This record gives sequence, structure tokens and C-alpha cells, in this order.
Amino acid sequence: MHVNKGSIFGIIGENGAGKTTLIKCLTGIYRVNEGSILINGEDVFDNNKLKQKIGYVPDENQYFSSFRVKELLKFYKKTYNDFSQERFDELNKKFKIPVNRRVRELSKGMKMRTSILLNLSLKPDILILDEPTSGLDPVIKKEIMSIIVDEVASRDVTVFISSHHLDHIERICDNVAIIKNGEIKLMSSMEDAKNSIKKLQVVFKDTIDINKELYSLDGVIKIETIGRVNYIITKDYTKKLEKKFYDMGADFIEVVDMSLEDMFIYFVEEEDKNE
Amino acid sequence: MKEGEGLINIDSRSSKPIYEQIIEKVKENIIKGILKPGDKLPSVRELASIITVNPNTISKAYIELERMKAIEVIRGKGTFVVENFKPIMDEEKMREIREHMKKIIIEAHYIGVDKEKLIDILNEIYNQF
Repeated sequence: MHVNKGSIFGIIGENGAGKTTLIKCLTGIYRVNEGSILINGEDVFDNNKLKQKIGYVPDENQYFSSFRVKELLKFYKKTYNDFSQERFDELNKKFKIPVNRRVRELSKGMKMRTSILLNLSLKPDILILDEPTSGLDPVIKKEIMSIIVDEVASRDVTVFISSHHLDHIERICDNVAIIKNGEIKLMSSMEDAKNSIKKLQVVFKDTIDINKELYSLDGVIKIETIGRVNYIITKDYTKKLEKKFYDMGADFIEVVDMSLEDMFIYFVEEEDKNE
Repeated sequence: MKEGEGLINIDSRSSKPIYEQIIEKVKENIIKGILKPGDKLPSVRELASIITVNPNTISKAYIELERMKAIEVIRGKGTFVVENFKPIMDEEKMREIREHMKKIIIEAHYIGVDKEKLIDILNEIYNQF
């Protein structure tokens, strides 16, 4: 796995697939059993110098609930050398976090925004977000996405984000990975995924059983048959594949729109089929 | 700049890559006259933030639009719609348009719309631009 500087990398997977575990390895919280995680060529585990430039927003609030926001601010200032009060104040014009409140008095959305605000104020080179929008209302969700995009556009930050809101991932990420049972099932640029993973609606002249033959084609991951119409999902769409279908006696082929959410569902189901 | 949101609507369910959708929407807005020659487009950063799309995707779309000579970048000033946009014929696109038309004609035929009626509709749409 490789994440380029200045890109937004999205990771998606079912609950318990290993997203948070991966993120905890990336942030140097967990020590990896095998392989290595390098940031700018350096190992991240136990590397305080690297961690100074990593912003990490975990999926649930990890601040002491009795702390006031301004006390958290103090803590961040002491921890991160590049933490900027100026930037905090500037960003807080948009975030509107009451600094005198205690963490436990904040709503879920406010806690998440506090965490994002603090992590952006430390001027990170890398921002790692674990489901930053889960359980938040659509307005705040959009606002958070907008802020992340703005960070990337203005400061060339690298973002690694996990989420179940696939429409957001689809819009803001340039690269995406699907993880299942701790394994990366797909890793691709958003554009390649859109161009090569397609759903085809195919009608064959004869209604003889050709499912077996279809499955044996490279890249075909799923076939659904409704009446005479076959919906074929392929991860390797080319004009050549279309030609193959015509050779097999297809009468009619049409490409049907497929969102990242559809792709995700098919990839998760593909595995179950093979098991 | 909030109006940019309505100007470029992205459908994330479409199988068309987002940068292609941006190119299409900008071109459509130029043809419809919503964007006029000399109009300033939002910067990459502004547009990214308004429609919450990856800034790299937007710059890619802008570069492509510039290559098509639909927009121009003036250093230090911003991105503008060109004064006299002359579309260039693209064979691949033409083939696509032909395919679309075929589909439309078949569908029209099925609901009993004849050639004359279709031409009427075509004229009507042209008059809206």
C-alpha cells in the first residue's frame, strides 16, 4: 500500500474489517507484527518526531470528559511544537467551539469538531481521520468534508480517511481501498475504479445456461439473472470483453451506472460466494 | 460563491468519473449562456470546497477545459471563460452522440413519436440556448 503526498486516500470496509486497526498501526499506536509502515522513509512506531506532524482524529472521543476545551488546547500546545493558537482562533470562527465548556457538555458533533479543530491547528503534514462523520447531521458532515478538502487544496496535506459514507468518499478521495477480514481486496485510483468496474446488462440470443462460461471469463465477479437479462459485474471492463459477449451470442449490451457503494457491496459479496 | 453549488452538480452515483462531469457541466453552462465569455470561474480551492470534491480532480478538469480552449488561466488573476469559444470536433465524442441519438429515436418510436415531432423537439431545445 502506498499513499502519495497531497492525496486523499479513502479506506472502506464492513464493521470489524480492520479499518481502525490499520489506522492505529499507521499512527504508531500499535506495533506491526509483519511488514513496516514508513512515513517519509521513516518507521512511525515510537517515532515522536514524525508524530509531531501527524494529526489523528479517532472514531470516538478520547478526551477526558472533565476537561474544558481550553485545557485540551493547553495540552495540545505542550505536546505539539508547531501548534498554532492563531490558526486555532482562525479555524474556530468556522467551528464555533465554546472553549470554556467541558468535554462532557459537548454534543457528539461538537466533540468530533473539537478533535478536528485541535488536529488541524497543529499544522499536520498528514491527517488521519477514522470515521469523522459517523452519526453527524448532514450539514455538519458537509462542513467537515469541505474543511478537509480546503486543507488539502491550501496546504497540500495528505489525508487518510475511513468512512461508511461512500458518497463522500467517492467525491473527495482520489484513491480508494476496500478492506475485508483484514485484507485489502481492492486498491485503485477512483478514476480507474470507475472506468474498469462496471455493471453490464446483457441479453443473449439463446437462453441456454451460460453462467459457467461467463464466470470463467477473467474479471467477472458476479452475475445476476432476471428473466432473459443478465447483469454481469466485472472488475476489468474493456471493449474486448464486450466483444467476447457478442461472440457468445449476446444480442444487446448496455453499461449500467454503478456507484462506489454498489462496487463495495459486490466486492464484499464476491468473497462470500467463493467461501 | 455559494451559487457554484448549483452551477456544477455532481452525481456521485453516475459511473462517469467526476472530472468528466465537471467538464460537461462547465461546457453546458457556457452553451446555455449561464457562463458568459470573460466570466470568472471559482478557483480550484473554492470549487473544491463548495462542491466537496478532491482539488486534484478539479484541477484535472480545468486543465482539460483549458486544453479544449473553453477556459483560460490568467496568471495572478484567475480562470476565465474564453472570449470566443470555438468547439473542436472530436470523433470519439461524435460516435457517442450518435449512439445516444439512436437510443432516443428507438424510444421515441416506441411511444409513437414520429420524425417530424422529434425535429420539432430538437428545434425547440436549440431555441432555448
